[in-house]
Formats: sequence, C-alpha cells, structure tokens
Amino acid sequence: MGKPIVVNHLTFSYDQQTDVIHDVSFSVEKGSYTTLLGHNGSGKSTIAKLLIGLLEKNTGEILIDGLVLSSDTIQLIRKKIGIVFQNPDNQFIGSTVRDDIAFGLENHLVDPAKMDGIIENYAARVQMSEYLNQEPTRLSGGQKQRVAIAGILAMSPDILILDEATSMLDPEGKEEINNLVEELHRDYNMTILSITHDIEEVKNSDHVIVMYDGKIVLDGKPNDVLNNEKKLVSLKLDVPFSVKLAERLKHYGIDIHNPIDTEGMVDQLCQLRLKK
Amino acid sequence: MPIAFEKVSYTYAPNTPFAYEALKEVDLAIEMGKISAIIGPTGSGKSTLVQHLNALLLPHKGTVTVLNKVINSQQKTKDLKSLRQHVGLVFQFPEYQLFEETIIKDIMFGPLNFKCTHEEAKNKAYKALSLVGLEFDLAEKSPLDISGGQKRRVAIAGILAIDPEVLVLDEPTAGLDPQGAKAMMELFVKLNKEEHKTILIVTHDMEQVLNYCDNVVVMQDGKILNHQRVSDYFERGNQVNEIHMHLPPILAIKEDLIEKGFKLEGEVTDIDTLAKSIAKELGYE
Repeated sequence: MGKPIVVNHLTFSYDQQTDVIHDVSFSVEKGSYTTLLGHNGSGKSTIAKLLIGLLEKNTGEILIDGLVLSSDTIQLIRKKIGIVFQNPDNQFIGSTVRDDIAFGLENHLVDPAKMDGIIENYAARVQMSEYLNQEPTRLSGGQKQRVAIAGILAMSPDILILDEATSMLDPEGKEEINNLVEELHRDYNMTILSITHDIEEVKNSDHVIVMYDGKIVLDGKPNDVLNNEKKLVSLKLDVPFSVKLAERLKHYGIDIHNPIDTEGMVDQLCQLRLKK
Repeated sequence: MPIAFEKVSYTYAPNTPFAYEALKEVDLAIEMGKISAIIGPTGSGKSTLVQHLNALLLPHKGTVTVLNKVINSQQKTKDLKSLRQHVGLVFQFPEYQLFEETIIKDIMFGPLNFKCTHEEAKNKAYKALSLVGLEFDLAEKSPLDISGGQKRRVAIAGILAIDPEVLVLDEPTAGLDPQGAKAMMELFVKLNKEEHKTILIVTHDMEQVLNYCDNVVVMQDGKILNHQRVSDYFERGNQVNEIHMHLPPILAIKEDLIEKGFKLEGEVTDIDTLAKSIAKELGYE
C-alpha cells in the first residue's frame, strides 16, 4: 500500500528569491501519528499549506495517497485531507454549530436527507451534541476546535493535519484536543500530521520531523530525537525537563536510559538508591 | 498601595438570562515594582480582572484604585483616558492587531494618540523597538512581513512606546516556540529590573511563574483563592493541585522523589541544585 503523504525535493518561496522551503523530502506512514516540530518561522505551516494546495510549490513533488498533487487532482486530494488551523475563531462559517458542520457536507453534495444523521453522529464523537443549536461564538476555544474537527470528520478524510491546533488553547482545551486526536488516530486508524510546539504531544507521537530554516534537519522516533539536548537547543527548540536533568546527572556519573520518559527516570533513580 | 481592588464585582450581560458574575467581591492589592503572575482555570476571571486595571471594564460594585485614580461604576470613561497612558494592556495574540503600513508607524500610533509630536513619537518608538530587541532596519518593513515572534514584539513595543508604569500582559508567550517564549519572559524581567515597571502576567505556564515571577495571584470561580510570594506558593505542592494545574516539571520530579524516600538536601531551586542533590543522595558526589 502507498504512503499517504510523500514529499520529494519540495522548494517554495513567496518572492522567487529566498526559499522558505528548501529541498524538503519526507514521507508519512499510513496510520501513523507524525509530529512536525520547528522554531517560529521554520516553514512548518508553509508545508501544511503546500500539502493541501493553498500554496503552490516552485519545484519538487507532493503525492497524497499515490496521487501527484496538481490542479487536476486537487479536488480529489482535498477530500482525503482535513486540516485544523491555529485560530479557532477564523474557521467558522455557520451561524450555529450544526450549520457549521453541515457546510463541508453541502460542499461535497451529500444527500440532505442523510445530513442530520451524519452531523449528529460526529457531534457526538467530539462530545458537542448538546451544543448543536448554539452560536459558535459562545463556545470556548477547545469547544470551537472540537467543532472544527467534527466538520472535518463528517467528510471522512484519511489524513488529518493539525496546524498548531492547540497553541491558542488553555491547558484544559489542549488536553481535550490532544485526547480526541489520540482517539481518532486509534479508533479510525487515521493518519495524523500535527504541527506543534507541545513537547508532550511530540513524546507521544510515532514519528517526529524537525525543521530549521526551511529544511528538515532531524527525522526519527521521538526517543531518538528528543534525547539530544544540545542539538535541539541549537535548533531553537527545547527538550523535556527530564532530558535536561539526565544531562546534568551524567556529569556526576549517573546514566539514565531513555530520559524522555519521566516516570521511567524516577524508577531508575529509585533503583540506584536501593543499590547504594 | 497604588493598585488595589476593594470588594469588586463584575457581571457580564447583567439582568439577562445570560448574566454571568465573573468577579465576586474581589479584594486584592498588587505590589508595585514586582512581577506578579495571575493564574487560575479557564473562566476563573483572570481576563476580567486585568481589564479593570485600565478601565476597559468598570466595576459594577466596589472600587479599583490604580495609581491614585479611583475607578467605580459611576465613572465616565472619558476621565480615564489618561489612565491608559500609565497602564499598558497587551491582549492575547496582540499581533493580530497590527495595522499600519510600517512597523515604526504601528509603534508610533500610541504616543501620537497621547499627543506626542511626530518627532517625540518617533524617538519613543525607536526606544521601544530596541527595548524589545528588534533591529532598527526592520522599522520601515510592513508588520505583515515578519515572523510571528517578531510581530508579537512589535505589538508589545507599541505599548512600551507609551511608557506605562504598569504593564499587563494576557498570556504573552502563547504560540511562541520555546526559545521565543524564554526570550519574551527575559524581556519582562529586564523591563522590571532596569525600567522598574510593575508587571502583571496572566499565564497558564507554571514553569514561568516559578522561574520569572515574584508574586502569584490564584483565581478560582471569580474570587482570589490565594495571593502570595511564588517561593511560598510552591512550598506546598497541594496548593497547585487544588486548582487542577500541573506543578512545574522540576517540582513534580522533586516531590515524586521525596515521596519515594529520597532525602534531597540543601535548597533545591533550579535544575543544577536538583541534580546535585540527587547525586549526593545516591552517593555519586
């Protein structure tokens, strides 16, 4: 089976002079949860916009489910990809939650007789059933993002892209959305590509890609990528606190295995104490 | 005490079925010349509280005293304009409010509004630009052509150009990458130490509270649950759990180790002292 996202030698610039994206290649496995990490302005969001054809590449190639992205295939490809953007206030169209979820379905010419059932099903899936007749403006940020996700689910895409979807939310809202995405990934085997600064989310993902100044600089399992404090700091990023602590413990001769797992680290320290 | 709330209540949409009491008889005195964090769950009244500081909201009951100006429900907003020169409020995601053609014009907007001459406004704008650590050659660029982190700095510079004594920031680091967030917090510490600004920061990030703030105001359900020195607040970890927030990672690990029998000697204030203390306990020192 083909990979849901394949990007080959992609280059993009806004002004035809300085590359915002420079010779980027990566792929995403079917059913995987991939996170895309990078400093502000590293080109992460530009990648998302290129993938769904909101921006047009200069050179290189994007394949979605084996289809080369072009003006001929874009309509087909957009049915396969759902995207949630950063600002929950910028993605509402309907005057009620119900209308908002219906918007995408209407665009895809879904039989109106079936629409209500679909809407109610997905509203329930994101736990927003009781808000269907409310105005979106009255919802919290986390609730708004859940409605946005329901609207996307209603079109049953294979791939869900999150473009810093939780960065404007408070900790509760973040947790709501992270849990929901985690469930969708598990229950529907949905392929997830999440652009994020949330190190906790990166820890829980299958795969992480790190960008710096428009290029991909690291690509691997979170365990391998996040355990390198020096490297990540040089990329203007941060590592989990436990990794920093392990780095300092090393100076005293204490070696911690896989310190991104905080609980595991505490366990290892407890065992060392018993052996003392 | 130049910033004080006395029995302040505020209700949104009063006398309607949607009426919602966001502040309930709040008493609070903010220490001048310090950095105070305002924390609490969503809907606890943090943003409502800070909007009273420059009279964007007027209390329905009680009085707010800010720098010898008394604000109550009877106040005419026109009398409070001068207050906004002394208390600068930076909203969440202020970069969405940049609107001028060039960065320097955007920063000059505030001073010009407060009757500075063009020349004065320009000087203040350049000073603000350097305070927030932006290069002067950005001045003539469009605010749309810079990165998100830079835009946020421009928005903050716009407030600093008014030279307020009190700077209030609602989640100033949301959406910034880790190093951008760190640089932003260091900027506030600098403004506090060198420019002697009183700073209030609404935040959800407990690590920032621990690392950068002097005092912490904890809100819950429209009331002040707690107001004390940061060092005292974190002394008792259960206070943090009370409001369903997470301890900063350093304290979470420390508490966990102590609970599992570790005796961590000496004062553990940062990552280096924690590492040292663990090494000592394990006999590696």
